[in-house]
Amino acid sequence: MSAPLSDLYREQARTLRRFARRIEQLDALLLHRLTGPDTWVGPTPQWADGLVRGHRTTLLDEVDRLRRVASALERKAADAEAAERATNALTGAR
Amino acid sequence: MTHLLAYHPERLATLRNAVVNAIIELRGTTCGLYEALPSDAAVRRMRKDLEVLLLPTIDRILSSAPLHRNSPGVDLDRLDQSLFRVMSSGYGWHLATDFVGDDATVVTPEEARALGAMLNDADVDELLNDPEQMAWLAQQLEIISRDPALTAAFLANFHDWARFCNALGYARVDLTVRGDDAGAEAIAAVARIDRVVTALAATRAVQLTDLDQCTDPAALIPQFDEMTPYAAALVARELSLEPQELAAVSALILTRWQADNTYEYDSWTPGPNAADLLFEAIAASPEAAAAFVLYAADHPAILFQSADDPALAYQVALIGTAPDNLPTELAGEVVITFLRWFETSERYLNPVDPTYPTGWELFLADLITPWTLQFSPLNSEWDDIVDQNDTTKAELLAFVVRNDGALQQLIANGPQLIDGLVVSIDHRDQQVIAELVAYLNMLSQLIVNQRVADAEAEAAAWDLLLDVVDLVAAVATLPAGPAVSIGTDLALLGASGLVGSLTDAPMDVAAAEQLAHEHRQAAIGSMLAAACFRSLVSQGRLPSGTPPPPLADPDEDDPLLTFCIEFGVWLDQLRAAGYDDEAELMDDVVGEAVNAAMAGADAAT
Repeated sequence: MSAPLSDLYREQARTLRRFARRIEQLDALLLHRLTGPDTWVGPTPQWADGLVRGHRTTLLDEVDRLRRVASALERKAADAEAAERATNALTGAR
Repeated sequence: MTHLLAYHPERLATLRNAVVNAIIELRGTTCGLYEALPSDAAVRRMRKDLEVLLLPTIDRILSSAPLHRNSPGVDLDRLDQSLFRVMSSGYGWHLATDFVGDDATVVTPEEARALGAMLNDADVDELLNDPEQMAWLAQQLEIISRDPALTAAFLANFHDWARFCNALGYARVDLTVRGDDAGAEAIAAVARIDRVVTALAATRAVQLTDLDQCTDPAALIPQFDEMTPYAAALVARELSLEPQELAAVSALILTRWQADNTYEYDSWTPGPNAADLLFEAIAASPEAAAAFVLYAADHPAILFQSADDPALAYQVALIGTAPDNLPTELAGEVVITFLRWFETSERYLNPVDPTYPTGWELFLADLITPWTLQFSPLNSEWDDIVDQNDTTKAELLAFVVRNDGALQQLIANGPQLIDGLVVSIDHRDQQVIAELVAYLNMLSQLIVNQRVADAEAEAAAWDLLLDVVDLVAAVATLPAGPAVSIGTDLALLGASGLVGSLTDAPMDVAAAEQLAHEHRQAAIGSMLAAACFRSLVSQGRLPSGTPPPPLADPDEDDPLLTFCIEFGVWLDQLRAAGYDDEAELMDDVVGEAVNAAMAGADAAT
């Protein structure tokens, strides 16, 4: 017998939250501390600093998005669980 | 020229290690779930950019031999290389070729700080000879001045305002020498200097926004004491000062300039000087002009003996003393002071002197145009001011119109003159009418005395006189309110024949002069009677069929006496018809004309 749908949703949500936390803790997100004018100045350094900061912003946005998706999956899990309880109650009554 | 970047070798090496670690870290970062596909893609993009773009760039820099100030293509003396010079010479950073050209529209705080430091020592002559660098500098300063953080960074390092602005000022004086053929290149060079000064002053203006109104140039203009007045003027007019501040600062700059202008380059180089620069700015603000003429009343020389172009000084004086900008009493103090100054200044006393200034006589006519009523014998608004000195109002007026052209200028200013009268009439009573009638007589006497030059000028003089007649009749007959014209003209009055009686009257001997007075009294009384009558009829206060008042006949032996007798008879007829109030009104007005004639004439003699 396969796992209930609610368990599946919850597992996916956990995976997404773990991945979000992993991204959040990347050292790559701290690179911008080294790409500024304390290290180098000029057009290319400005470009490099912008590049790193741009990727950082994108990844942090992804972290937020992953957590929103995880929350949505957790709500779906709760709904599925309620539906399963209702089905079981109906089956038991017969 | 080689584009440069500067780097701290150890820190760049640290960055390289961090990038390598980040690439490894990102390579192992993946989720695989469908919902995480965009996140996986973002991680991949970052890894790829670090691996393909950033790491090779850092490796190229670290593996190349550093450039030096003498390397081919490197010119650290250029202002647009300020940042690299400061970082290499000041902080020991290495230089490398940057394959990306600088975006001049972006200024970083480091660039602003470096520019400030470099500008202190910049070779201004070299800069002035490089239009590209001047344009670049202006652009950078404009960007900096729009951002308080950049401005703070720039001004933290830029201190030597005087040296820099003085050098720009000297160059500007040379470029604007009067008599030199100002070619397109010189005009463009002046524009470049002005753009740089404007942008530089704008950075200072950012700092001044928190300062309450201030009139101390030393607090407004950095290094004011070391700056030439010309340079200070260049900066002051671009500081976006409040009008009162601009006036006060200008007065102080010009006072100092006059105190030692023997040594000032712009004072003996023909062409616009410090005063011309300031007057241009002051003339653009009526409030500043009004404030400045009050300062100039204490020291008229800062206004009239400063600018290379006296027309600018005259413009400031005219705007500053206009009735809209200065109340009557203050205007009186300024106008009377200026007139006395012209009357007693040596440079205006000797017309045969080759350096004798021209144009000031017409300016004085313009100056008094809005204030002529105050010179009328029965007007007392400026009496206290004039009484502080032996000179009388009549003498000052005579001084103004002693020049043939001055009276014609006054006449040509007719509309403004009438406007000035209207502004001066703040109520309506018999006293005002008496003042106006005396004024009318004074004006007619001036016109007769000065013998206007030609038929056209004579016609203009009569138009002006009629406008005043119209005003007097309006004040006497219309209810109080904004309307101050009843549209009088000679033809409507049927008084064309009177014109000749004024200008043709003999003037050479005392007896003839008395006769001329009587002609004039008769003519003016007659015209006033006709104008008032016409106004009363048009208002319905007299029936349209009422016979008009008599006109003076210049061919009579005694035109005044004949007119008075005939006018008295006409008034009796009016009273008999039941129009006592109207008869009284006309008797008062015309009586004033006849009685005040001598007083007004005396003032104009």
